[in-house]
Amino acid sequence: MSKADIMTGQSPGPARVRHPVVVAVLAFLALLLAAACVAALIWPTAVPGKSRAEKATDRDLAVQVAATAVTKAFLDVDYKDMDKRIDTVLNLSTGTFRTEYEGASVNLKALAQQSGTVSSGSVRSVGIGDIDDDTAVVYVAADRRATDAETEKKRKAGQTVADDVKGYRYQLTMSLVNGKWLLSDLKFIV
Amino acid sequence: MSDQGNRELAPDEKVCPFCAETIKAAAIRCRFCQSDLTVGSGASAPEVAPVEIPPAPEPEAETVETVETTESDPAPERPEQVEKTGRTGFPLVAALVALCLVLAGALWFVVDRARHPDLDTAPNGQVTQGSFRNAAMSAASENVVKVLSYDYKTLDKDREAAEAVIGGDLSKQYTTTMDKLESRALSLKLSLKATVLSAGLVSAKEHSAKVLLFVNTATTAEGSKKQQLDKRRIVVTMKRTDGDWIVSDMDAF
Repeated sequence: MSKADIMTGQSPGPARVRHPVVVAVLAFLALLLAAACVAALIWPTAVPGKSRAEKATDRDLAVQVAATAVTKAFLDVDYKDMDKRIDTVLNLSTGTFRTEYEGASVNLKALAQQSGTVSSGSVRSVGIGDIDDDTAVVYVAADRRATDAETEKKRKAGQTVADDVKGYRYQLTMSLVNGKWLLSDLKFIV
Repeated sequence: MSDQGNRELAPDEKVCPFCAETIKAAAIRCRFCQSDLTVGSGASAPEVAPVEIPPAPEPEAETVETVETTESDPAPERPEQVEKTGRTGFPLVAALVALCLVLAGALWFVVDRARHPDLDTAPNGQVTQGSFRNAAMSAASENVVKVLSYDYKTLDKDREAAEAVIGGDLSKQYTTTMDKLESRALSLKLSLKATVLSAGLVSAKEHSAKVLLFVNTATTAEGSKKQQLDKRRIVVTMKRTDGDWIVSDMDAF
């Protein structure tokens, strides 16, 4: 209370703000910052751009999808139309595997046609072992359901013959080539 | 020009700080230069007002001093007014600046933590940190070996070791299975040894993980040269509590 207030017995009015514009701007800024803090805390995706973990998860998913696709393509055999299937596998592979598969494809086609094999694969589970930015070791549990000319012959003769179903354990090495995860090596785990 | 230099100011007069003309002490705008006397100079109407106030019937010494100062030289009142208003405005601005700095620091911390968390976790909950994933796979491998392996000579000990790493419904299933197996294992002197060949992570979250294992099991009966070898594919589901991984489900196919 000022001396004049004491003298007149008046109480002072509300304190005046010296720089109202500055105060208003600062108050607005503080509110904005507080809101941003809350948003970033409760909503991680509020932070612009993908986090390292998000990118890694995307990468893992891409590897799992690619490994599943190439495994199914690898197990997909139809003696009536092998060229298309072989091309699909070659398009999903690279490096050592592609070279070896391409070299064996003539024999593979001949064997399939000779035995009248028709098979399809289903992937039961895919697990990632080691992974970095451009290489991944992936373990795939897959089943192969197959029939051949012998089976069909028995069925035609009235016999009940179940499809041949086998479980496989694969170790796939996947490599990132031009933005695509491709199979570069395949091993059977025995 | 006024003749203020030739005469003393009356008690109800003052000098405009902008044009130096003599004006009424209560004026809030200079009638000569139109300057606003309440803004910018730090002066404000309520604090100028006391100049007009007549002396109280029994004035105190301080009051007299104030009036005298105003009458003889109005100029010294201005610094006092600036100081008074400064006390009102400055702490608020300073406090807001400090608050903004603190909030900016907090925002930086939160954003940085979101980008580089202690545990690399994606918005879908998947942990991608290598050490965490390796720990989950190692735990799955070790735990599955404990759950599957047994030797008729150390059956109780083996069961204890297995029960320590399993939980949930799997505990009941394990107990039931082992109760049935126990008499056969003892009579035939059986032992089973599990070996994990490969482990791959299907998914890993902070408190749960699924791991695909390729496991070979060799069952032997003491004295027999025969051995039953099984090649298994097992998806192990685990829960993580207090840093320990516990097997909650096993799906073999």
